[in-house]
Amino acid sequence: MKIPIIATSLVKFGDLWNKGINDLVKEIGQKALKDANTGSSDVDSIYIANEFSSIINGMSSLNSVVFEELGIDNGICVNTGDASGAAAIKEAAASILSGQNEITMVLGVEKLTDLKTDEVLSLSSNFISQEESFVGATVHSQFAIMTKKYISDFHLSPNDLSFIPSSNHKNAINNEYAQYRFELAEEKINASQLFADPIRMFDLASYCDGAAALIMCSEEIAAKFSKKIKGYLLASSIASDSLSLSRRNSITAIESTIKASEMVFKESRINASDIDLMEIYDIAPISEILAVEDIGFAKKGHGPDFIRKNLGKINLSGGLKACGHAIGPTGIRQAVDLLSRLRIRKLKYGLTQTLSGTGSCSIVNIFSRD
Amino acid sequence: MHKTSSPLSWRNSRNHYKLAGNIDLKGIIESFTIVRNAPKGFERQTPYVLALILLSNGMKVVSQIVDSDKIEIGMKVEPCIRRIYVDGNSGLINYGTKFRVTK
Amino acid sequence: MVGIVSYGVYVPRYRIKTEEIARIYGKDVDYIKKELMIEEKSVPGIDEDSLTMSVEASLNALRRCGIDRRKIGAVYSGSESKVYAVKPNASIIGEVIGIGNDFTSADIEFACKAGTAAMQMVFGLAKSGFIEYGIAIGADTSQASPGDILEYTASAGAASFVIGSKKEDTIAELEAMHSISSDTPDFWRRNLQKYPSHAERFTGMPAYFKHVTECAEKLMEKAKVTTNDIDYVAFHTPNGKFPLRSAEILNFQNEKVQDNLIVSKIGNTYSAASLLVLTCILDKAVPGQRVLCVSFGSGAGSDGFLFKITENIKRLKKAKTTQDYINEKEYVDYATYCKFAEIIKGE
Repeated sequence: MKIPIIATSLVKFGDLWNKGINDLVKEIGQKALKDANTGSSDVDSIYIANEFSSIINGMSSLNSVVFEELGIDNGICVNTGDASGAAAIKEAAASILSGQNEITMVLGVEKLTDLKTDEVLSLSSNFISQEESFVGATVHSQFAIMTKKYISDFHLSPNDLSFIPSSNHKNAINNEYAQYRFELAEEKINASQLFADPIRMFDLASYCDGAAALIMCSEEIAAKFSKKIKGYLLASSIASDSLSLSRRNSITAIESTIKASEMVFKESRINASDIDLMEIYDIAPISEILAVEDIGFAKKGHGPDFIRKNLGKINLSGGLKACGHAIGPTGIRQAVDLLSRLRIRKLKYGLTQTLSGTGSCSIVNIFSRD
Repeated sequence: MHKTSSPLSWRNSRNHYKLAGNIDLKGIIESFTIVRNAPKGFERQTPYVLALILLSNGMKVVSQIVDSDKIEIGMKVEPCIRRIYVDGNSGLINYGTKFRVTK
Repeated sequence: MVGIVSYGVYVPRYRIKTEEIARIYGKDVDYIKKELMIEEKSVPGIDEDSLTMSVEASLNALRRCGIDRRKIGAVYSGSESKVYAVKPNASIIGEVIGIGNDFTSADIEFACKAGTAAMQMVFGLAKSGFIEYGIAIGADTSQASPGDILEYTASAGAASFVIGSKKEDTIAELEAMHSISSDTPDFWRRNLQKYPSHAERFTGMPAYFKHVTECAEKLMEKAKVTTNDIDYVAFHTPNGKFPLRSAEILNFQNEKVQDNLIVSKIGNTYSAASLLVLTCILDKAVPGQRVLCVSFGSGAGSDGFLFKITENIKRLKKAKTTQDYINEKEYVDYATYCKFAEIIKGE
């Protein structure tokens, strides 16, 4: 497949106190429509990525909000945990490929700062198994267990991994949409308080508010939007693994990413070595390390080395760490950020990888500039 | 953990009691963490140890480790029954299996 | 015949010293230690309660003997700190230890003699043939008002007994039983009150000593034995002084009462108190010896048992002993003790 993306839009992620769900939907949707120079009546349907509006804002039917604010009919809500945005892209692509739609919008919104930190932490436990959250586990504690095993198996120290969030921060300095646009030195990360040993506070991406959108169209009508095309979606794959760490074959590999990557490279007919840029799910340093190994860029145990040698290719937006993780919009933000940097640097192929929870689901999308 | 419902709590306890009441069951710690930022309901328990444990029956389980300060990967453990989560002042007391280090 | 088939205990590993509590309230630690003869007491962890301890003690009892646990037809739990006001410890205990669902169960309350009262019920059910085996437990996570004298003694522990009526597996035959009951307002707790109230010195002569000594005397008379026929005595242990004084009054030699002094290391475990002394004795008693056990529950009453140890005691399997639990300890400071006991309540 080769699905043209004719519009992209972002709002700056962060503490958006003044904006509610309706405001974000309106802002991000109108920005995308303007970007494509098309009207809402031209959009055949919209896939909406949002996880917690029903709990946080007491509103579960965001398709109705989208209709109210943007006038777009046929809204479908997509829930796939932290990877909802990436899943919404996949669904939108399917609606185009099937011939059902000519123009589809993908829109992600989330208002996590309407809750307190511990409440958000508890909600994120929806993305791990009930048996784990029952005993007091969180997404972060489970990543900590994975980190401990990884550094034990490969003879590393926890401080060896802090270059990852540090370099992601550096990348975000020039990103006007990133939540945090300052340097974060490794020493500062290593001195920050322990969150769940051995992971420290400054290792982790923060939850925030955000919105992101893109519009795709069928290849048949692409000529109409030739000047608007931001890039193409070549392939999208999703795979699953057990929710609980106790049922996985390994806790130093995320099988859902392994499976999704195999499928997506096969589908797009390109190889890992062809990838010029990537936006990798870096909620914690370990998730970025395992991703580059599981996608096939590096052998098991060599993830940190690969990342060090390829800092100029990974998470140039700043990743979740510096942009913030807004759950619903994140997978879409990764795509938007990737496409803009492929264009600016005139590079060919890019890849986004988005997890849900600790890897119960992984979505890998491959894009091209032309 | 949100408010526990009776049916949910009852179903959960089946599995936990099987582990806690098994005097022959043993385990080995595969990996662990020390949770210092807890989800709702667990705040007063921090710091607590969460571990991935390989059981002698071949299964694995994620559980808290109690009564020990020094935890290392590879330590042997055995199950015990403990309070997991108390649902406020009027809700249920949820019991479950935790593990402690054996000599 | 009827008697004890097996036994098991549990004492939490945490301890707080008398001097640590005295430090917080500016009291004379030497005076308190002399008065109470208690050096330190056990403290339950933040996730422990009378139920979790009862399960542990019962599992230890099952480890010690080889009976098919599905033959257990009763679970009676005695505690004044049962986990729900309405919903029994006993049926949860039965479920967790995996005895199936064909058993009778209930929670018993009679202050510190709830455990022995539970034993009497199970002795009755077993002797009458209604059940093959039964379990009786005394367990408490006793609470005392911060700063009150009881705070130095109120501790946590559990003792569980498997009871049966077969000659081939009874390790301690119940030769005689006697109880005293009265309305004596020495110590009580009203509904919904967090901590108990007590009548200070009134808890001595008119309460503890009257019931314990009278019960012991009448029991020995009933069984036609004298103090010379008895090798060990277990009394209720609200502190170190009271059981030693009772022994004096009844004319028992010092060596027969020494096990009561475990109280100085673990405190008063309320419904488990006299029973933990009994298990200490069972850990070392030999066939043919006689053991007198007299509990005391405020309100007030005493249950007295006279046991004769049988040959079967030599065939018990290994399980953690009371002394093992007493020796395995970790000290906590007053702040940690408050955290565990959730004395400082959040919302």
